[in-house]
Amino acid sequence: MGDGVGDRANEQKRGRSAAERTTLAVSAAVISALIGAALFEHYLVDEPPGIRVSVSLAAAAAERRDDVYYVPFDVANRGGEPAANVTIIFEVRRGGELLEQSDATVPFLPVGGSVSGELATRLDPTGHDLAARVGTLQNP
Amino acid sequence: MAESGAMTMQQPLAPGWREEGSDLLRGLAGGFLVGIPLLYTMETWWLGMTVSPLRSLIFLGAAYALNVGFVTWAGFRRGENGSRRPFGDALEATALAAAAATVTLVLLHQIRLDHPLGTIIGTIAVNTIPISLGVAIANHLLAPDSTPTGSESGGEATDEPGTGEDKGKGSGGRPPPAPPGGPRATLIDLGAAFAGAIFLSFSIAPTQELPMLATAIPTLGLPWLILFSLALTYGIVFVAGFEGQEARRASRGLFQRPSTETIVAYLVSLATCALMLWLFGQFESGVGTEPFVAYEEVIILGLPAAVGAAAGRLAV
Repeated sequence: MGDGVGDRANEQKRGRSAAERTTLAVSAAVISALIGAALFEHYLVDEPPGIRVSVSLAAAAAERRDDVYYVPFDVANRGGEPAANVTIIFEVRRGGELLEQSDATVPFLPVGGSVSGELATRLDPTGHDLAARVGTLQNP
Repeated sequence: MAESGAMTMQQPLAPGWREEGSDLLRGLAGGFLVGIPLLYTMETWWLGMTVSPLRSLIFLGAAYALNVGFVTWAGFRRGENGSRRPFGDALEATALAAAAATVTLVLLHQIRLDHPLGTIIGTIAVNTIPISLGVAIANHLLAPDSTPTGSESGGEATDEPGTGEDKGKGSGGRPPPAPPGGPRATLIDLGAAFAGAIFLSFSIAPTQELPMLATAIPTLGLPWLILFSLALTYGIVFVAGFEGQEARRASRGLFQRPSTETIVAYLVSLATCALMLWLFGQFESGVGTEPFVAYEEVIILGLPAAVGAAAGRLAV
């Protein structure tokens, strides 16, 4: 198996087999693609600085199941930095009076990441004002 | 058990390609043995999602630099106690690890097509380091078979139990240890699979990552995870050319056919996972109380457990 110095020299002279050359070429292509993508991201993609978390609540898409209204919501981070432990505060009001308040926590929101969920309330969304906002968040 | 013959390769590859395939599989086995616990760690996922593109490049560069050193000392190619071409082999180790991390994290739903490109690159780069180190030292994790061609029978897996002739072949003139037969061999294999599964998955079983993954991975992703676990462990035990591969083929236990043994060992791994998850209370609180989520957790933990079980069977 070429443990000796002579065998090693012969191995090196013989060079790589076709299979080894193919593997090396594919490996170089994979690493080059990763490096190219990272450089593309760094130099050509502009992301707004800081964390920019937005919450959208789709009251019109609410569903009633077992006397509870489930209202879909999306939390997205469109900024250039990730966010951790994002607290979303939901409020249900009628005529300005706060009837119900609840919150949800998103453990981690990467850059460009989004999370979907549902607000559960016993109050009919069609007869109330629903609002959602970001309460607190942390820099990971 | 009936033999499907599904894993039988009718047209064996040319020796160069077979050898290369088994070398890469051996590297992959080492990579998973070292790196898979980190692929199941949320802090690693999040770190990958937070690093800048330039830091991703530093991670890749660090992986390559470390691999140059490690392949010089160990490597993953058959018969080499240290690579003769460290720069090229280190590049291959890095790329193999990047590919392995990508496939695994896609299966675990931690890399998705809707993720931004920078997040995907960062996640791959961070997770490449631990796997690539395992690739680079694969020969020192489990002893490689030093036979120049003998283990390439991995590429010619016939799914048949070994014959008497098999027993004479082995590690370069050194006859392999006589394989035990019958129920004793089966018990040893089952015990080795059980111990190996515990060894690699014990540190993952009590973590919160499992319920997180179970609720994140789509239901249709589970069959792929199962197939990946089976294919990977079959490759590690019967194709990668680790020492003991020929002895395994020659062994005459109840399950000692490559495909049967792979499936039985996988089932042992899953049973071990279920036992550990129950022991750690994962089925008694949170989403784990749902039977299907519990099943998902078992399948998800089954990947590292199956890799550990494969290593365990090679070690006995």
